[in-house]
Amino acid sequence: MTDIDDKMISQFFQTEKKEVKDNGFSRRVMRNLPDRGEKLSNIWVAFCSAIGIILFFLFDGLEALLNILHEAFNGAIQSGIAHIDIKSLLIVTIVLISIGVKKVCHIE
Amino acid sequence: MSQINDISLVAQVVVLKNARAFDELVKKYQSPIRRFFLNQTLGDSDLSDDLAQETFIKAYTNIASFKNLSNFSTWLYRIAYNVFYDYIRSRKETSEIDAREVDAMHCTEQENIGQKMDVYKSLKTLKEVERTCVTLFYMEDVSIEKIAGIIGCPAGTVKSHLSRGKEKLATYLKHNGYDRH
Repeated sequence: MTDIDDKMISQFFQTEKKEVKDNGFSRRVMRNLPDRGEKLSNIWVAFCSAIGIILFFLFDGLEALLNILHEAFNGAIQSGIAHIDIKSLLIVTIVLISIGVKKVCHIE
Repeated sequence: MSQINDISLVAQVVVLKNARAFDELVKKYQSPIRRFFLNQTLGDSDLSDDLAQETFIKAYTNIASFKNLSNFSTWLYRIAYNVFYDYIRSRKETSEIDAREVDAMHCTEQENIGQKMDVYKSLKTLKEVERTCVTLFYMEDVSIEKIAGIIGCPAGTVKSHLSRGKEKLATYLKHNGYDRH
């Protein structure tokens, strides 16, 4: 292996070294990045949420919601609060409080 | 300067998830990475593009692991090398065809036959690892130390691969009259 051989090989490769044109390759790579799907889904969720909020206010959703709550509250009172089982209500309250305490402890 | 620019682009991708910064890196390195694969696959442009795309996607998903201990290009070549050798391994697992026969098949599939043919013909005479060392050294101007980092072996081993590759190439080129140029 002589210096002449080395020079010959070097020259051979340098003359054959050509820039590879992009021809849309970069665009294809960017389209196939894994994160892009996630990004598109986030954009889609945000878009749908925005549409939902707009429609909610456009069709007086707030008023309808308040009416429903009001009717439900009135209905509960009218159907007789006397029928409510105090024992069950107490058990439900204790269970909910214990779940809440557990959650808070878990977060800490 | 180029190295600083690369680090700045990488930081933008890692911290700000800036896809445009990654796009700049892809545009900057697509040519050397695709040329690297073209040389490894002896001119199979479709396969080269698939492997190059896989390289950039892997680089993107693992970009946070780029620790700036080497150049971005060296890091990228290392991924490219691993992608290529994963491909070689999978090919050997799925096919009983001898590697050289497959190389010959790729050689006939290439699009730009002509002046490039001699390069691919000459590279065909080399073993895969010799081809990697020779093309990185002569075509991509990567130093022996960096090649050692890319293929994950000592610099001495790279020198041996280069030396054997050079001998085979010199013989091929002389047989084809390149010593008279």
